[in-house]
Amino acid sequence: MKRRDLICGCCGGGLLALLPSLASGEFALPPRFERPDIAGDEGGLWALMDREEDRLRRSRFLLGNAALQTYVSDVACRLAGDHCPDMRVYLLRTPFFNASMAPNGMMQVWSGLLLRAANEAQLAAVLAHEIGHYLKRHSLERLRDARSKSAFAQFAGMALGVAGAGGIGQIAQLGVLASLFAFSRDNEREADAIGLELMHRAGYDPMEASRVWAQLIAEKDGEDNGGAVLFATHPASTERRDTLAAAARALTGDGPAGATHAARYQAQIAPVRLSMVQDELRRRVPDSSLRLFDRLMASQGRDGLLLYARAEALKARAGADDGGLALAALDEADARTDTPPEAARLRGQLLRARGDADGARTAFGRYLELKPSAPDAPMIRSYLEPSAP
Amino acid sequence: MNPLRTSAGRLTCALLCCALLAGCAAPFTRVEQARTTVRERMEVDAVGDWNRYTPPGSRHREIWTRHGMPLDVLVFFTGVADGDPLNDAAARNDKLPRFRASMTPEDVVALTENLIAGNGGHFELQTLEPHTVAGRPGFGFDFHYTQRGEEIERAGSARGVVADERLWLMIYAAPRGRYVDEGRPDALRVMDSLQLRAR
Repeated sequence: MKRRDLICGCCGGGLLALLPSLASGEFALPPRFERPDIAGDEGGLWALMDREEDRLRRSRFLLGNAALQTYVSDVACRLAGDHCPDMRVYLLRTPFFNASMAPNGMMQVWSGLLLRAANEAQLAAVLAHEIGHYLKRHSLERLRDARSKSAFAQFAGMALGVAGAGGIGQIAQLGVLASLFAFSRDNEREADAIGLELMHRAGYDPMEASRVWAQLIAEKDGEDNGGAVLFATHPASTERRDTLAAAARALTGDGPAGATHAARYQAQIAPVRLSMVQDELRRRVPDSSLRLFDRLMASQGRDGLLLYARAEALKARAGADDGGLALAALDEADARTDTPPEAARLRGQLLRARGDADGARTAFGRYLELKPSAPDAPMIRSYLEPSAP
Repeated sequence: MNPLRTSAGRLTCALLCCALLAGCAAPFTRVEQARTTVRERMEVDAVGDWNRYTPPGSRHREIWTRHGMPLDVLVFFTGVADGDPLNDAAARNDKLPRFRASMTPEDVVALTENLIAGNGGHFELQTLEPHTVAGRPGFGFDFHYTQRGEEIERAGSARGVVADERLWLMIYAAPRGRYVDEGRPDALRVMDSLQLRAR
């Protein structure tokens, strides 16, 4: 894509104005970036990000699954083309939907995103969007813009927080790069457009980008933004969803839509799925979690883990009928082989709350049989004693 | 609404998240008496050297520390009422999980987990077992946790009981290693000396 096309797209009709050039495949990746001079503003920004990356390498929150790490890095590499050697992907166990990419090539992908993406193409959609910001060096643009508006102190404060040196360290580190890279609407449109193009070139169905936003919009209804920290910097709107869908249609035209690789994706995240679901439950936002689990069941099937997760969320919501609904979900999960042992404990808790002492004992006994050395086994065992209430 | 602000605000108020509060000049006073009253609702033996602090506006908490809140904290929840969140510094309209008098020990662990690690932190339960608390059938649990913005692994122990439809809970936590090893025995002795006072 030529620079004037981008300018036209950003200042004029937005994403749709970019479509002719995108469809014709004119977009050219810029050459790989050289490390900037430390004396300049860009060099300073890289240095800050280098320090953050040092911290990240030692983080206790790294997901620690080498196979998944390689898989996500490969997806990012397919999207980034020649820039692949400059990118370093870090998977973090954090139950919010977020990804970010720093100007030095450090990319963070949070487990909340991995749980929510329905397929590889949806993961690619988010990564490609972040790579779009990287390729257009939007963070530098934002730094310069902030300076020109005398807002540099605020920007620097956030950056110091990122490095762990600022007074707002805890806040900044949670949202860390999200806070730092709250891009302008024009930047977002540009990253959307480039992201779609990168997806298309890598053989993914670009329509999945629109579906990601549709899912997030549905999940965030009501409370807590559905765990999507990304919303802090990437405003979600039906307009954006629709624009992305129109752009995807224009991009693929009459040709093949592209792949989603749903089965491959599910196989890759399978080893960490239980911990991701448990992290989501730990947030204790049952309405939001229920919408998420129901959507995952609709797209991935009603497996034992998701049925158990649904039952846990219903118990946490504790509405009038939720106990019965939770037991129904557990009944359905019983027939599955992938149901975690905790489902038996949950059944025991629900039956105990209903006064069904015999049913509760049977379920607790089953839990202890499946997980005899569970941390809560002594407590659960006490419920089996004759004197238990 | 920016979820970062909401979550961070919740975390800031949790008080087990001590780092942010360390810079605040909280008016701590020494715990002088061997047998001392906590918010007129609990009575414990002050085993060891402790300093105490009641957060302004708090309905049911008092905080003790030996070396300062980043290094150790013993939080007393002095009778959380049915329908109240553990974090009594939260805004009334915050959608926090709330204590219910019908809750089991496992539910109380989940509340604790949400309080100290619900913002994306790690929480790992080590043990949960029946324990006599204030002469009543209660529970005790040990845990490890790491908060998202801090990355320091901490360990903790808690004792609790649901009595008179209220939750009486004591949570001790400190960084793993020297601080928790040194501080936990005294903290447990404090917890084990608990008597509830008539309201």
